[in-house]
Amino acid sequence: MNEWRLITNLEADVADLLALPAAIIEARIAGRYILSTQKSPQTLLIQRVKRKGMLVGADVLVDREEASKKGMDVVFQPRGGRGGLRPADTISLEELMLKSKEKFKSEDVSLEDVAALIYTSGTTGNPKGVMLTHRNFLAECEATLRVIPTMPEDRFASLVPFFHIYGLAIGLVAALFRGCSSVLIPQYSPKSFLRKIEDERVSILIAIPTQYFHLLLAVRRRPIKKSYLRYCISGAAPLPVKVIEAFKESFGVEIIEGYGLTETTAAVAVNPRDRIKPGSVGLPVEGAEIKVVDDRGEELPQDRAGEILIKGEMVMKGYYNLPEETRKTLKDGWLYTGDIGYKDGEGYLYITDRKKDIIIKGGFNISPKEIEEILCEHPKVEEAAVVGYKEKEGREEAIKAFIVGRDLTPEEILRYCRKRLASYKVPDEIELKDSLPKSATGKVLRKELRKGYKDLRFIERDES
Amino acid sequence: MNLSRLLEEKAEEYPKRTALVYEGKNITFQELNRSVNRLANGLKNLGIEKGDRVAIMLPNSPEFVYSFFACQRLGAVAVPFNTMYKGGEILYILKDSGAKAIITLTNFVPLINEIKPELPNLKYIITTGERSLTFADPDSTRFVQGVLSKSIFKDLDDAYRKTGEALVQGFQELGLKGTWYKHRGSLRIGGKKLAGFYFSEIEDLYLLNMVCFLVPLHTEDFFSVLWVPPEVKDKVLEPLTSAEEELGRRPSDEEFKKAVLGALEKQFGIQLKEGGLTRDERFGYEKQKTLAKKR
Repeated sequence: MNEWRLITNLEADVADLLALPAAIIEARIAGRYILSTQKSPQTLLIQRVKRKGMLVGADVLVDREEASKKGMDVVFQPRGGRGGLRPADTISLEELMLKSKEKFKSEDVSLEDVAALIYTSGTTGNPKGVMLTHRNFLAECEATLRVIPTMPEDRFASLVPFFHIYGLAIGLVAALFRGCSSVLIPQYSPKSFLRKIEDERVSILIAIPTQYFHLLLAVRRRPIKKSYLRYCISGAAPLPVKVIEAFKESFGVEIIEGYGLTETTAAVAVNPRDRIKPGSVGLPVEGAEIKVVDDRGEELPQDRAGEILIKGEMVMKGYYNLPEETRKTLKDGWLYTGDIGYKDGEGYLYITDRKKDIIIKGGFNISPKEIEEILCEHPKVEEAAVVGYKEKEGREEAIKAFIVGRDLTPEEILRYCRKRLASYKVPDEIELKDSLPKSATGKVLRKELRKGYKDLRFIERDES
Repeated sequence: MNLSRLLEEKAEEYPKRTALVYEGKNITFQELNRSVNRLANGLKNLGIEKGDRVAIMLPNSPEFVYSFFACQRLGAVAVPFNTMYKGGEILYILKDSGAKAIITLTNFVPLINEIKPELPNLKYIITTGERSLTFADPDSTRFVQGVLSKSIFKDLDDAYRKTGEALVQGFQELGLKGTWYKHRGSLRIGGKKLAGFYFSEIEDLYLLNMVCFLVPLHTEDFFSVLWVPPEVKDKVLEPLTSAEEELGRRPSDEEFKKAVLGALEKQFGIQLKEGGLTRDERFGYEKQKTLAKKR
């Protein structure tokens, strides 16, 4: 019978996970070229670490001070390099580039060709692929020119990942389109990013509300010496006014809030810096038309809430392989956003709800946002999310509130709601939670709170 | 103008101006344009054509920028998606878009490998970056590794299949009856991951790396030194389970070793003999260890 070697190491430190197999590999490869006295056999290793630790790639950002405080070992993997150990059956990007020429004969690409397909996870159902054309991206570059008048020396930094349209269209494409630099932040901690603002002279910041909030907390612990920030843009989720004020105090810049969708290649409305209206998402950007309509598609007068429609060259080509969805969403060049809102006398846009989130109960249309705002005014409530649910199909919708807070009881919340809300708006059920599920951009994922939500991260056995 | 020509034009206009700043290094428009062209040519050589979809699962790094604009060069469609996506989420996007290639971080390869058989259109996995993350915990994690000749197996699929089957046997032996294995890497109970393994390669050798969770892995300490926004923490890791959660008790190290190694012995028709490092290996080990600790 074939004999393999077994090496048991139950007192390992994290470096052994790397060093032991590496040593065996090295000896086996070297053994072929030089005369080795002993030949290494096929080997299995079994290891247990004696202390907590992490084995991380060379590009991972680790707070080593904190790690040593916690008694944790951190070991970095060496860079793979050419010809090094790599996952089987894959191609190395670096080698692919090295082998290829640096001159490229341009392909015939038209402005109407699709440049990117970006998936949005809707409030219900499967994600949809939003087809964005070259024209869409360029229109967005033009549209934001006036809101962020840049100089060639400007340095953008996007804390928003480029897989999100806001990071991609503004933080990357618009920055390069204007000949500015884009400072790349692959992974950030508020502390290290504060240093980066100084070191890299970041002048234009692309971020989301939670990130601004984290930066504020960090700057209180360690004030920065000099800020080069000229423009700070916030999007993807509503920005509390108190964050704008506190940020201005610490960094000397007013955060500009914008509104947009993946379907509009990011921003279509922006709050002008000199005339910010709190609570509003501002005025339409250059090249975007926005109107508010009722259920029959008739435009509504000011201050009346209805569905928000958008027209402009930044509006998507359609949903990939979904002609029916596309027809329902794009009509006569207008994008039906599914967002509910209104415009005031000066044309400022206010977003109140997502159409699909509206709860219909007892013949009333109930805004979950209105209930959430009331809940958040309770001193012990930190965060709240309200959804509608049906006990059974055909039954009427009920209201369920999810609450994050300190020392609370559901009864206490209910008593509070009864005092502050019309009886039909009082939640039928309260659930206390440690945190609310959120997307990469900090939006509460209501669909994960709804009944019957299926977590797609699991791989099910019967899938194939 | 369109996105295909954008960088070419900028590189002509101001070649020396900085386009990207990454980890303190500046990349000029000219350098960026050249890198993008190289990757575009590389993808073209693989057979990526106008209209083809190329998935991008990368953080904000120069490689993301090269990938996105290389797609534009070719008239291909970039499909960037969330680097925190797991299993079914990735499967849905790759399936729906019909992506021909995916450009991703080396450490995400196991995630893609596991769903690849369901993606007939996906021809190439292109990898970059050094962002692997392995948590080691005295109570929870046990590592089984192997340095094996490729010649033991017919091909990589065979290596994954045989090892996967053996590990399922081993875990069932431990009493974890619900363990199942689909393809390339993850051993699951229900939809959750109990253990994972992957093969890397160098010359004619495979390196097997397997981690199994004996008790729930408490990740708070790990995340306190790797800054991840609190609200997305639970999305960074795949849903995990452990032997203790499934069994109602914690198997001892002896039991674990006996069951898993026994199954591997049976599968490969071999006998394991406890041993230590050879002299050459010990020398290499000291060197490797010094290197690992130096950083």
